[in-house]
Amino acid sequence: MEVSKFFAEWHPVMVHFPIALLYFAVCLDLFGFITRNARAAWAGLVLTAAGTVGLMMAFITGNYAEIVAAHQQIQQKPIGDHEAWATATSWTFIMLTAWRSYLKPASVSYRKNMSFYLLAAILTLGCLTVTGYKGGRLVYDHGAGVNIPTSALPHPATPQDLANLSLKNSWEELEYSGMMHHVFGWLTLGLALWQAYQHFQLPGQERARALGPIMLTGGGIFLMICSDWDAWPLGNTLPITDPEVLFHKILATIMIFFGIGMNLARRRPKGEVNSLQSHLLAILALVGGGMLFTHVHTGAPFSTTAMGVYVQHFVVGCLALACGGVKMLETVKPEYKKLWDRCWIFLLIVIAVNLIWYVEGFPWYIHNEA
Amino acid sequence: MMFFAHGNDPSFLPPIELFGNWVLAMVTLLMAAGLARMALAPLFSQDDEPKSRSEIAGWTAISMGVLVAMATWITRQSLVEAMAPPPAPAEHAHSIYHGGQMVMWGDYHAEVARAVSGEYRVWLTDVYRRSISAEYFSGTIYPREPKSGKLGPGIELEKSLDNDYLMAVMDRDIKSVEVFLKYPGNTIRLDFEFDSAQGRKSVKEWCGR
Repeated sequence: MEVSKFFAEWHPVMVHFPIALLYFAVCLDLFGFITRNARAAWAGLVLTAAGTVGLMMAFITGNYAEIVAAHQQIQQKPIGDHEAWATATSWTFIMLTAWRSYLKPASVSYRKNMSFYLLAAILTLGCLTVTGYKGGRLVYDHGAGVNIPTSALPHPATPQDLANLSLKNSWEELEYSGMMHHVFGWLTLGLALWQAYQHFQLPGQERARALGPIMLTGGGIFLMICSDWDAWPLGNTLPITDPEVLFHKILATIMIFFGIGMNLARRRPKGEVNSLQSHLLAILALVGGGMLFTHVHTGAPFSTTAMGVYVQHFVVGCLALACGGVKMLETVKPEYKKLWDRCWIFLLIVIAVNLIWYVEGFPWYIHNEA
Repeated sequence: MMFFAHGNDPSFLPPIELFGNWVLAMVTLLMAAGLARMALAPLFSQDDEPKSRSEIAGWTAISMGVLVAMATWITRQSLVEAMAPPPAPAEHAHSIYHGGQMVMWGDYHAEVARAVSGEYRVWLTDVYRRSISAEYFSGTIYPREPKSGKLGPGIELEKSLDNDYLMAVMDRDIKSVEVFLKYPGNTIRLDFEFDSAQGRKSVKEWCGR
């Protein structure tokens, strides 16, 4: 709980950044569009990216604020509402930032595309406003995060809220989840060794290139079927819309997708194959790492196990982003390719070790005072 | 019956939560496709022999098919859940799990059981009969005169070690009691009688759930 409280206390600080930055970013873009001012457009782009990073930080700390508020016995429905709006807003802004980065004032179709972008951005600002409003109401109407006794809360928790707070994962569920993390730890280690094999130009490169795509596609198919305890075949009692199941199935899908992509890369001229394959793996690390921040543990969302799991996913998510980031540096500073390659392999091994030693709950390096 | 459980919470996901999760899924799939396309673009501009070109086209079709199939599956399921009729009033299952007596008020259910040793246990559950931890409610048990309803001195109910229920040990002869429960936002008084013509028998030993 202490770790959750620490992160939760940053949520009200973080929320101001995306609200201020993204509003100003869209205003600058609008100004730049109307006055054809390239400098305003450039500032708009920078602020959009900064605001989206702020949004991510607010989202991550918000996950912990949610746990703390639920334990404070705040009603969970308004918390879920606020989180749902935040999810829609955050991921739409991620897409808008990617879109915005391709809109260059010098290009021919800039004005037409920019007008569509601005329309979408203004609509998404509406979502951001609703998210902020709902977050504010949680504090003012429900007393979320306010230091008052539970008995003084204006809207007491419902029996369903209390039952959700009381949920604990069964031993079998925890064992199964631990086993799945270990399997993927070994898979990641396999991928790291495969990358090292290519990096050091060991013999049999031609055949070795096929290994990565096989591991990734095979791992994806395995995850698609076996991701969750008691969740295959999926049905109406645990559908794909369950946030935890959804996360696993999307991860499985993009693993299969990038596995096939890496197989396609083998068609490139020989010298480029290794580089392209590792770039695709890095993209997977970036997308998968980003998703880890929003991972929800629906089995027992407010248990101590869940808090530990969120911390571990946060750490692995950061490592995955660092992994992808290092590989992307190769495109900016290609002269240090060897260094980037080695950092990349090292980080992959660190992720693998993290997953192989994964336990459901708090990791050994976090001391949580319950 | 259409029933959508999410994790261990059997209640429906509201449309806004379905929408939020749908946006997250679609943006992730779109970004995966977009970033992979950027990396693999040169592959499509190469002047390869026709056999190689058809192989590339085949693999591309398979990979895009995987993304499109997943996007369709998520969209379909989200729409079905969003448009499903509102859930019917929850069925209040009144099965007895611990050999005691059941009571229901609002969305709460309580089961109170007595052992022949004079030990009383109180379990609280929600509308779906999911257990509510004893951390979230408290109470007092009073001996009660069955005819006059007069109450004797109360005993504070204690939490069990695993917080699954509240418990108190009373005199072996006390078989009619009043349980006063305090739960978030309210209190309730419940009367029980054991081993009489009206009430259930006391359990000889506790059985597991």
